[in-house]
Amino acid sequence: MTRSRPAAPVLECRGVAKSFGGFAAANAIDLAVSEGEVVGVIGSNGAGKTTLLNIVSGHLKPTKGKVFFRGEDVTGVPSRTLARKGIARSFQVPQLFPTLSALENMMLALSLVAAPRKSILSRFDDADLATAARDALDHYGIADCADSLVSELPQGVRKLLDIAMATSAEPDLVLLDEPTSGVSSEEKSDVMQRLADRFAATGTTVVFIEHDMDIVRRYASRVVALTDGSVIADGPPEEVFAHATVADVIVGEPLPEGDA
Amino acid sequence: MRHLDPTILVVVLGAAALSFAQPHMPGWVVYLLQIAIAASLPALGCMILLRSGLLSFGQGLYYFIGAYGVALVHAHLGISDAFLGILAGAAASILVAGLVGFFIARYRGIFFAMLTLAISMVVYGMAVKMDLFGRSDGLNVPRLSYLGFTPSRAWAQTSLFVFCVWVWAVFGIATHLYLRSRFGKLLTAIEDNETRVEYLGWSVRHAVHINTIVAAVLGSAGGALAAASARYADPSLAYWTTSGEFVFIVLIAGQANVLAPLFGSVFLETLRTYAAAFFPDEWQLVLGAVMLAIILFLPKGLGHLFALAGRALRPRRATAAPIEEDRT
Repeated sequence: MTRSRPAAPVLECRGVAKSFGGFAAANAIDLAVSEGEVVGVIGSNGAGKTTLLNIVSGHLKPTKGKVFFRGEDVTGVPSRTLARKGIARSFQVPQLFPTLSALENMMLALSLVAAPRKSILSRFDDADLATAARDALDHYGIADCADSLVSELPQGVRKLLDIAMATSAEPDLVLLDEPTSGVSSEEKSDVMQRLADRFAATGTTVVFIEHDMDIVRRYASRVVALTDGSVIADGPPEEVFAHATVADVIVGEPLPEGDA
Repeated sequence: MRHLDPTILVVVLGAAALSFAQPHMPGWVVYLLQIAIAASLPALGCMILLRSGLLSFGQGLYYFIGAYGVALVHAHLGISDAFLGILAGAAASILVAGLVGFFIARYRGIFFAMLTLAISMVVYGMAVKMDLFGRSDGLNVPRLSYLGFTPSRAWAQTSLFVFCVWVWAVFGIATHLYLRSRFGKLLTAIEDNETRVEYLGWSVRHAVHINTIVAAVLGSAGGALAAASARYADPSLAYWTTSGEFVFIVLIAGQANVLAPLFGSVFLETLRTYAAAFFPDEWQLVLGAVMLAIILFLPKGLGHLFALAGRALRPRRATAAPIEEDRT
C-alpha cells in the first residue's frame, strides 16, 4: 500500500490538556505519530490514556492544546466527521449492535462508511454487501461467527468484530482502547496477532492502549508512557521499559538498584 | 431474477381485492375500513420512530395537519382535489416536522415522548381558539374530486374508498422499501448503539430528524384520508388522546411489518364498534381487557402472528441471509 504524503505526521497532539472540574486528566501532552507506526500507550489506571484517545477521536474537546490529523487541525471535530476523514476507533467495551448478527453488524458498518457511493436508500440485504461483509470478517478470522447474534459471541470475537467494524473504511489511523481487555489469556495472542497481521498488510498507523506489557513489548514499535496525565517516557519499547518510573509505577517491577 | 417481495405482493393484491370488493361491502364496513386505514398511517409513523426506540405521543399533530390540508385548500383556495389536498398536508407536515425536528431530535426516551405530546397540545390549544381552523367545531370537507374527475354522488363512496386503499398501498410500499434499506437498518442500529453509529460516520441526530419528517408525512396522509372520510376536520385530531390511540395501535399490532399497524387499526376499530354495540356502557373496559390479554399473551403484538405463520410455512434452512425487518 502506498502513501503519498509522508511529510506531516499522521497524528499530532500539541500541548493537549483536559480537566474535569479540578482534576487534570491530561496535562500538556505532546505526541506525534508517523505513518505506519504502531504506538502502544501504557499507564496505570487514571493516567489519562483513554482521555487522550477520547480527545483524538473527537469524543472529548481538550481544555487546551490542538490535535492535528495529517496536518489539519481537527481539535473538537465530532467523531462522525473524524470517522469520515480516516480516524477509526475501537472501545474497551465493544460497541456493537447486539440485536443484529455479526454479519449484519459488518454489513451496516460497510454500508455506512465504506460504500458511500451506493445510496443509503438502497437495499440492505444485498448479496454484494453480504459478500463484502463476509470477506471483511474473514480478514479478522471471524467469518465462522457471521450468522451468530452478537449477544452469543465470545468476548474475543466481539473485540475483533468491534475493530473490524471500526476499520471497515480502511482508515489511515486506528485507535484501539485495550484490544485484549476481557479476552481470555488463550485468546489474547490470537487477537493481537490477527490485528498485527491485518494492520501490517494495510500499512495502517495504530495507537493502542494496553495493560498487558507482554503484548505491548511484542507488538508496539514505539511506546508512550503516561502518569498523572503527562508523558513520562516515549520511545522504542526497550528504552521505555528501562525507564525507572515506568518500571516501578506502571509495570510494577522496579528495576534493580544499579539499573535505575 | 429477484423474487417479488412478499409484502409488496400482499399490499398490491390486497388493495386490488378491496377495490373490487367495495361495492359488495355494507356501508358501515366501508366506513370502518376507511377510518382504520387513515389511523394506520400515523400509527405506521409511530412504528418507524419506535425502530429507533423513540416513542411519539405527537403523531396527532401531523394527523391534524393532513386533515386541515384538505379542509383549508378547499376553504381558502376552492380546491377539492384529493391529491392536492394530500400534497398540501404533506408539504405543511414536512415544514413543521423539519422545524420541530431540529429541537426534538436531540432528545430520547420520556423526554422525546413528552416533547412531542407538548408540541401537539400547544397546536391543539391554538387551533380551538382560531377561526382559521373553525375553532372547536372544525371545518367541513367537501366531496372530493380526483385529478379533475368528480365522481357522481352514487360513485363518490366507491371512489373515496378506492382512493384510501391505494394511498395506503403507495405509502405502505414506500415505507416498506424505506425500512428494508440501509437507512432503515441504521434506524434499528440507533436504538442498539448510538455511539457506534456516530463512530461509523453518521449523525444520529440527523437520522432521527429525517425519520421524524418521514413519520410526519405518514401522519398527514392519514389525516387527509380521515378528513375526506368523515367530511370534516377538527382540532381534536391534534389532542393527545388521538396520538395515544396511534401508539395503542402499534402496541396491539407490534412492529413485525408495515402491514402490522393496518391490521392493528382494523382490529381496534372493529373491536370498538362491536364493544360499543354489545356493551354500550362498558366498551372501554372491553378494550382494556383485550389490550391486557394481548400484552400478556402476545407481547410482540398481533402482527407477530403473521411472522410466526410465515416461519411455519417456510422450509427451515440454515441461511446466511440477514433477518429482514422482523422487529417483533
